[in-house]
This record gives sequence, C-alpha cells and structure tokens, in this order.
Amino acid sequence: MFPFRRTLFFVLSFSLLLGACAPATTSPTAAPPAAPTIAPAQPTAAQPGAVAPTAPSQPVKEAILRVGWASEPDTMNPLTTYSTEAQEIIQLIYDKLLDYDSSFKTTPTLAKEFSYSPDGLSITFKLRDNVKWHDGQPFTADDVVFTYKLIKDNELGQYAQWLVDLTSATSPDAGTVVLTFAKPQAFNPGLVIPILPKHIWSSMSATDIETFANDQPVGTGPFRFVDWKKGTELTLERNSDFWGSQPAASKIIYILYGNEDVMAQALKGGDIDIITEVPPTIWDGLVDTPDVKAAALPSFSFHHIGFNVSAEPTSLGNPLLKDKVIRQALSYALDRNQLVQVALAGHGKPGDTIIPIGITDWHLAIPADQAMDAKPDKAKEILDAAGYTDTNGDGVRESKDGKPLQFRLIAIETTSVDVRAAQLFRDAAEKVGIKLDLQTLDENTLGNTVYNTDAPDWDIFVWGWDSGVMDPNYMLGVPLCSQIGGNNDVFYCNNEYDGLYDQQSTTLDVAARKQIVDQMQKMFYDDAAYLVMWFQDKLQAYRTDTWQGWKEIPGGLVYNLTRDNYLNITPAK
Amino acid sequence: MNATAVPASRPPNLWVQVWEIPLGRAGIILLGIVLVLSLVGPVVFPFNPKDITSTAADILQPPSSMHWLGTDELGRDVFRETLVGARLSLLVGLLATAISITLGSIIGLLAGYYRGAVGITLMRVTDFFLVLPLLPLIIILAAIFGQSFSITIMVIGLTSWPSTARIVRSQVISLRERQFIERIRSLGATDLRVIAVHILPNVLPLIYANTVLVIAGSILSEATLAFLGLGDPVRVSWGTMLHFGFVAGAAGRGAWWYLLPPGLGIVLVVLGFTLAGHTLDQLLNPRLREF
Repeated sequence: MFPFRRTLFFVLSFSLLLGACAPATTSPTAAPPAAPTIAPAQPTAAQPGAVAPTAPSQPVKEAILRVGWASEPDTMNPLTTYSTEAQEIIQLIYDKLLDYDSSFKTTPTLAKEFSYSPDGLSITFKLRDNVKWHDGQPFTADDVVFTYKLIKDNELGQYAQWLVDLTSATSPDAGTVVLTFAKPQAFNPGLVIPILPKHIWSSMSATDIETFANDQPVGTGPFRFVDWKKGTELTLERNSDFWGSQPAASKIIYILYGNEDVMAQALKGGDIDIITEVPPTIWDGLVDTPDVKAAALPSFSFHHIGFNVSAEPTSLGNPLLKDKVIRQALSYALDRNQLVQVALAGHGKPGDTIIPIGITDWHLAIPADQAMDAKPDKAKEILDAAGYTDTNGDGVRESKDGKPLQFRLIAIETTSVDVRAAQLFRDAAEKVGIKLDLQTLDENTLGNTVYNTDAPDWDIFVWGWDSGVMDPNYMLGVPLCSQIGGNNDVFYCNNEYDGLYDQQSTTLDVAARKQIVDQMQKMFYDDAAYLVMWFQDKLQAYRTDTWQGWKEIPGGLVYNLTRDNYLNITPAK
Repeated sequence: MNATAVPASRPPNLWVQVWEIPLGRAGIILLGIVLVLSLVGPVVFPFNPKDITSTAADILQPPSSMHWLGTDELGRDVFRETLVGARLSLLVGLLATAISITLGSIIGLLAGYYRGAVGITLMRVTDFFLVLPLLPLIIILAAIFGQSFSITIMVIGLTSWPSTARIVRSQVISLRERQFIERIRSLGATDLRVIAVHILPNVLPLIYANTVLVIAGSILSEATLAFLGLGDPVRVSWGTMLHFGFVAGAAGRGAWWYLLPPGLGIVLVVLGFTLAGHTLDQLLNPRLREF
C-alpha cells in the first residue's frame, strides 16, 4: 500500500542530503567521467622516464595542464562572448596585435612594433612575418584590416567600444597596418582585439556572426582548439607552428565541476593542477594543504549594489530611487568593512569608486572621513532633512506623499558572497528605516531582469564587474548614456559625465587624463547609482608538485588579462 | 476502562497502542524530543538571524564553550540556529501536509464514491500526478513561482496529494458497497450526507495514519528544495542551513558542526514520523490489521 513513487522520492531526497553531509572527496558523480583517463598521463609528464603502455617504444612528451573551472564558456565566438571562461580560451587560441606581459607592460604580439603619428591620430603596426593560422593558411595584414573593419562596420560585440573613433584601417604593405582615428586614443585597441582569420569569417554576414558558435576556432595563438565536450571538459593542444617560443604544456584540459567545493577537493586530491576561482570560505579550507599553494591576489574586479535610476517612463522600478538622497542614505548605512570581513571572510578591500583598486594607477580612493560608508546616523540625518520620516510608526520611513521606502533587492542565488552581502545590506538598511525585500534568482534570470532596458522591473541588485583592460576606459564607460542598452546596468545618464568621458579618452597626457578620471570617479561616487561594496581578492590555488613557475601577479594566475603564466610554467621535477 | 463507549472504527487509546509497539514508541520519543527542543529551545537560547559578525575570525569556527556547535559562514551560533531551524522545517512540513491531506482526501472520497465520469476523471488526474517524477516537478514549480515560505508550502502540498487520494479512494470503494451505506442511501440521505457523516468517519483512521507519513515526506521535500537553493533564502530552516553550509564549502573545510546538526535533525524527525506513521498504519489500516 505504500506507493512506490513516494518511496523513490524518499530515497532520492535522502541521497541528496547525504551527499551534502558527507565530506565531499572526489565524488564519482561529480567528477567528470573523463578524469580517470587523464590521470595516467600526469605521472608520465612528471617522470619523463616512464613509458606509456600503448606505445612502449616511443618516449612520451605529454605534459598536460589540468585546470578546474566551475562554469563553462558561453560560446567560442570572440565577437559575442561575455563570459570570463570564453575569454580565457580565446586569449590562448587567438593573438592580438599587442598583449600584456606579466607585469602588465605592453608586449609585441602579432605586431612586432608600433608607433603613434605625431598628432596622435594614427597608430602604425609592423607585423610579424611567417605567422600561420592553425589551419595552415598564412597570416597577413589583410586579416588585421578585415577584423578591425568587421568590428567597426557592424558594431560587433564588446570590442566595438574601442573603435568608436576609428576612421580607417589600411595596410600600405603586406607587413604594415595603419589605424586612423578621428580623435587621439588614450587607449590602444591593439591590446584587446583578437585578430580573426579573414578566410573563415569573411563569408559571413553580421547577422550570421551574431549567431555563429565558432565550434572550431582557428587562430594564431600558442594553443589550438581540440574539442569541447559540453558539460565535461574542453581541450587545447600546443600549437607547434606558434611564432613565439613553445610553451611547456602540450595540452591544457579544462575540467568542469558542478560545485566549487568539489573542485577544491579535486585539487587537494591531485585530479587537477589549478583551480580558477573559489569562494572565500572554500579557499580558506585550502590554505594548509600539503603540495597546494593557495593564492589570494588583487583583482581588477568589484561587486556593487546597483539602483534602477532609469528615466524611461516605462521603467517599473520604484521611482523613489531616482532621488539621490535615498541612494546616498543607503550608502551611508552600509558598512563595507563588515561586508569584506563577513561576505569575503576578509579577502578583499572595502569598495569606494568605480575603477578597481587593482588598476592602481587610476583608482581614486575616497578618504574615510569623506566616505559615504558605515555612518548610519548620517543616513538618518539626510533622510530626515529630505522629509523621509516614519509617519505611521511601522519602522519604515515614508516619502512626503506617503509612499514607503520599501524596495526589492535581487541577487544571484549561486553567488554566495553576493547573497551574504545582500543579507547584510538589508539589515543595515532596516536600521535606518528603509525596508528591502531580498529575492535570489539564477544568473541568467537576474541578467535578463536587469538588462530589460525598455521596462526594467527591479529596484536594486547585487552583482559585479571585471575590468577587461588595464585602463580606466572600460569601467568608466559602463555608466554612459550611450551604454543604456549595452553595459549600463543601472540606466544612469549624466551628460556632464559623458562629456568628461570623451575628454579623458582622447587625452594622451597621463597626468592630465588622471585628473579627469578622478573627477569622473568622484562624480559617479557622489551620485550613488552604484554602491561599490568591495574589491575582492582573486582566490585561486594550484598544486606545487605538478607544475612550477606560476607567477602570482595581480589579476590572478589564470583568468587574467595576460596569458603569460600558461606560456611560462614548466613541469615540476 | 469502558471500551464499549468508543465507536468501533476508532480503537481506544490509539497512542497507547502505538506506544506498546517498540518501533512506535521509538518514533514517539524521537518526535517528543524534537518537538520540545523546537518549542522550548529558541525561547531559552534565542537566535537572531541578523546577529552577524563583523570580523572574519568568527566565521565557521569549531565548537567552543561560547558556541556549542561552532559558528556558520556569517559567524552565527549553529546550536541556536539549529533549534530555530527546526521550527520552520516542522511548520512547512505540517502546513504542506494539511494541504496535501485535505486535497487528497477530498479527491479520494469523491473519486471513490462517484464511480462514473467524475470518478474516472479524478482518478486519471491523480494518476497523472502520480506518474510525474515528483522532485523535478517540485523544483520546476519552485523555480517558476519564486522562493518564499508560502510558495514552498503550496508547491509541496499541491504535489504530494495523489498517494493519499489513491489510498482513500480504494477504501471508499469498499465502504460504499457495504450494507449500512446502502441502507442509509435507500432511506434518502443525500450524497453529501453519506460521504460526510457515514463514509468519512470510517476512512479517517486511514487518513490519520497517512498524514503522519506525509509529514515526513513534506519535511524532506522542504529540506530538498531549500538545499537546492529554492527555499526562502531569508528564513532559517534545516534545508537552508545545509544549502548555505554547502555553498560556503563547509564540507570541504571539515566544518561538520555546521552540516551535521541540521542533517541529523532531518533524519531524526523523518525517522520519528515514519516509525510512528507506520505503526499507526498497521493499527488502523484495515488491510494491514491482523485479525
């Protein structure tokens, strides 16, 4: 009489719960099925004398780097991707004209040298000779011109913002490319734009490109794409025709883990060599592990609280948030040091302005006495002064026309640091008489909700940004009016700010530019459309007994703006 | 003891009878302990979910004299949190069960009594829900309707009724053919009266036993949903504790004090209800009763 269905459900739920309770060593269900087949290759890499069972007569040169990540790339198409994971793969497969080295200096890549014209309006790149695409075709100046024109003409992807002022891209001879701009460029776009093979991409229209998955990416970079078993692993192999020196890793395998804790256990157990990023509490658990080095590195990222300040009449956000006073009061109410201590377990710095602290030369620090931070009394004071008082005694302030200061707060459910921060923020707001209703959503839903430009139906969110370049342009460019519909996640629009942006991006003198950049950071800080909560450390860890030579640099060992670590590590003795 | 005063369908001193069976006794003791702890515990050891630390050193600390079961990822006391969590887990279990049993009983009664088109339709709907894999269904519903205390209750309540409906129906089918029912009908009693006054009391013991079993299932469902991150994120239940413990990496760090208390709590409560429920079932279900 006991129905089978319910019994099954019992068993299922029990096993789920038990799974949670058991210490998660490499659980066979969570570890990708391919892991066992990878493992045997590793000892052969570490002990060159070992002989592979399949080919006893040949020495084995396999040196596999196994990287653990907790989410997958969205696509292999450099022109449509937005994920860190895809960027990581794309920067190994494709080359740019220039790149960052491990100290974030510009280093020649496809261009062996470059020079600015005296008026600063054009940049001439001298290209490397004898570079080949992964499919054997020769690389030429045509490919470069094609890529720049393609992006410029069709306003494709994240790169179009660097080419707004581009007027022409030409190749006077096979080894030279000249980019000409309408205004001087403080930032050299050669540092970010991956060069695509014309012979593959030229046959597609802009619409084709927007839906192109690029399943077999062909580049000129140090690693070649092998395959991507979605949901399991992605494999790259060393490009034997690479123009630079050959990296020691003959293969890189990115292994997907469904959970960061399981990934951390896999590193402990030696199934992988490095993990890309883990939450603070999990990272703390790796600190004293033998043969594992846990690295906390300054990042080019921050997490922030964003307010819907859309001026669109169709916006469904609470209009009270358009009043700067309420946003500033929330900023005063928030204790950013507590956020860092609790949500990040201490692994970061309290936030202030919009350029991440890792971009040291450009970040503007707000002195503690001027900071809108951890001053709940000040929050109450400015709310009282603006006429927001609790008239009905329910603990929540009301506006003069009786609307309660009650807002919706959304965060990504799987980003535990954000959920914790949101809880703290809610409690801090309550103490100054503002009520926040917290709801957690999955990442895609939150993204779609926030970026619903025409009718954004949300009040306040929590998430974060990674700066894609070592330059203020990227982060400062987010809250521009022109980025509404693009990156602008709070629909902030301030013409004065936009004017300053144009001014700084065409100012070549660093000191003069810094002044404008500071002014913009201060302006955006005072307007409080963002409350930058923290600049988190990048928390990574790697095994010291399989690969050596990892450089612990700002931005991270991997998932960084530079690919140097991949090129320079060597198998451990 | 005056046994003749009690209607024949309900045996006397039901809980005494359960108590006399060892397994039932174990169940009652377990439930008693958990009930007392969840009711009295938070009064003696109050827990403030907003009592969050401001130093990293307090996070996920092992048990100490200050924190008997250590601290969680926000530096809060796990012992107190577990006591409070029991309340929500039990409450969701009970309320969801109320929905489930009410719905299941009504559908079972109607489907058993009206055997024509009404009965067939109701039973096909029941079968439909019965063959749906319950866990994915609950997850999808929770994901669509969002995460809150009341939605969790509704989702569990509205998906777990079919088994009750089936059990009740089969009993009603046998009852409606009995002579006393036919006599009452021939005396001109309305269907409603027959169902409510004469059939319902006879299936009540069965519903009663089933309820206790459904509670166990509902508590587990709540824990499952919350563990998967689909529970109400701002309320503390055993399931949300497991969820937050898991995402904070408590398992990998060996922070057993954070995962074990809610895990054990769930196991004990579910075990308690299952033992008591099965014992009740044995005593009350006519098909299992030993004659």
